[in-house]
Amino acid sequence: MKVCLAASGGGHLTELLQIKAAWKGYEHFYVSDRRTNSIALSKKQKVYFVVCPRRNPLKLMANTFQAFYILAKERPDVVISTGADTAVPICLLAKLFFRKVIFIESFCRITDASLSGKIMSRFADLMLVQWPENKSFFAKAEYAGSVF
Amino acid sequence: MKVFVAVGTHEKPFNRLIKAVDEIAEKQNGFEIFVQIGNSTYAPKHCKFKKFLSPEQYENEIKKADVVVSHSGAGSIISALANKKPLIIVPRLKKYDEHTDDHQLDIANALERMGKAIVVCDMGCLCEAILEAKKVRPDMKSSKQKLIARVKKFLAECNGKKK
Repeated sequence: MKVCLAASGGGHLTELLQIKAAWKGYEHFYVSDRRTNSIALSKKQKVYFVVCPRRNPLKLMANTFQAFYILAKERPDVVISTGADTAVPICLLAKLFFRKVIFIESFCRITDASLSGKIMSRFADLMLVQWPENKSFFAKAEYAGSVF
Repeated sequence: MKVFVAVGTHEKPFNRLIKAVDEIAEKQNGFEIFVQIGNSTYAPKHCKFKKFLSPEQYENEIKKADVVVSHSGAGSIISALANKKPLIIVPRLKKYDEHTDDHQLDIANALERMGKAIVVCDMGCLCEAILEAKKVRPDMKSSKQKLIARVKKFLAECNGKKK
């Protein structure tokens, strides 16, 4: 089984890497945008760099094409993501191709939901929040601890 | 006192915090301040700074510091608390165009309620907060193993169905 880990560079990727023990033993690769920690990670792990959409339609389209290419090439069985916008297209495309998706809302969201979280909570097979009070902002979400 | 200041990798600048820290470095004795300025457009004149740090450089600066002053980003907070450093959080605020919304304020307040950090929104209070910060004990019981177990369980179920 192959696992795709998708997260924007910076804090979202830091959060994802806190739980890397979860996919230990499975073949895996990362998808992120270019920031210091994702570049550092690429020296030790397989990392695909994609465009960060930043709410720009052209960049979003570019990111989506890249996501399609990565999914077609790697064919992961599961995508695990901590957001944000960089990771949403690959998560949605994975669902289109009948793959499983775990989406973990950021530790920084307590009394509201991120836009990525609002979108992904409708499609993720497992939607996780990191504060119990954050569950109420999603139709179906589970609290199962946090990244630290 | 060694102070490490981090504003993260967010695309928006956080000049308000950096200017305040630079002023503290200019006027106060006994502070040795290093600032990670990210995409901020203000360059400090009285303390050392760098735009971005590698994860190893970041960890080193956190370990060296007596106090960490950070925006309310997960990466910055995780490192400071994992190294049990006194943490001051200065949330990026929407009204100053430092972020797209005020969720950083929520996380900062939640951590302060748990006794894990001091929150400062008024830059006039920052210097005193740094001096007081050592009284905060950042010791958090981790629920990381619980989350890892949940994700592992899901992956095992997927793997089982695949076979």
